[in-house]
Amino acid sequence: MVFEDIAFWMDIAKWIILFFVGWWWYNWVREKLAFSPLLTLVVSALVVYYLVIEHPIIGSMGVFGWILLTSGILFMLPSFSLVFNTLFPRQVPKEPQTGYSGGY
Amino acid sequence: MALEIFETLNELGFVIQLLVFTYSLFWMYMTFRDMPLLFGTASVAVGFLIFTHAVSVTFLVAGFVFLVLFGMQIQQVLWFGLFPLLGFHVMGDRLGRSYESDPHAMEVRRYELGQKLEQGIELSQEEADWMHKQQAQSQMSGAQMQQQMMQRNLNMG
Repeated sequence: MVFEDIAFWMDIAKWIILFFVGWWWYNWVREKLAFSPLLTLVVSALVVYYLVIEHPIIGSMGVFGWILLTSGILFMLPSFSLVFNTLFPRQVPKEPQTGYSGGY
Repeated sequence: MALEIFETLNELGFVIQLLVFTYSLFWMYMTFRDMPLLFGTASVAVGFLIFTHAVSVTFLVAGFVFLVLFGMQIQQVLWFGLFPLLGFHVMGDRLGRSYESDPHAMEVRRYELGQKLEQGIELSQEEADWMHKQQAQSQMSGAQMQQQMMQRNLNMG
């Protein structure tokens, strides 16, 4: 029962993502071919057919890859090492106490 | 299975051609906004290039991008890697002549060639030419010095 619910919502999410991907490609074509509504219709139909209906994974990779590259979210990558070092701080071994101050 | 992959690649190739053509159309429209005839002509030409010579155009663009991105590295590899190996200077001069800007190196070379001559070793054509040139120059400077001394004597006299 629970798994059926998960599958149902996954299905809904899949359709929402596909709709977004289709809209994204249509919008890209619409922006580029703003001078010709007919050309916009023809090209966007071809692009959406191939990249959303025929090859939805490749089309989604194009959209989300582009968003990933251009959003600037990759600049956050170094913060992961910061979090890692905060959660798992390096244990510095204690120096042996010799009574010698090192010359100072 | 293999056939399906080729079919997919074909379809994706067509979609990529379509996207490239769309993008080109956008920029051509922006460029030839007030010149519809040029826009139409350029669209036909670019469409022909993209849809019938896609592979050649891709290689051309890839080569251009490669040159733009790695031009500096290629230049440095040529100047400081290949040319010295071939014996060429940065500005196309032979490495063998670089001593001409260095008096000490010239002295060393003169001495070495003199040693060679004394030992009876035959000089190469380039070395012999160089020696002749040096002798001619030293004779000339000797003559100039003599002339200057004569002039000085005349002035003093």
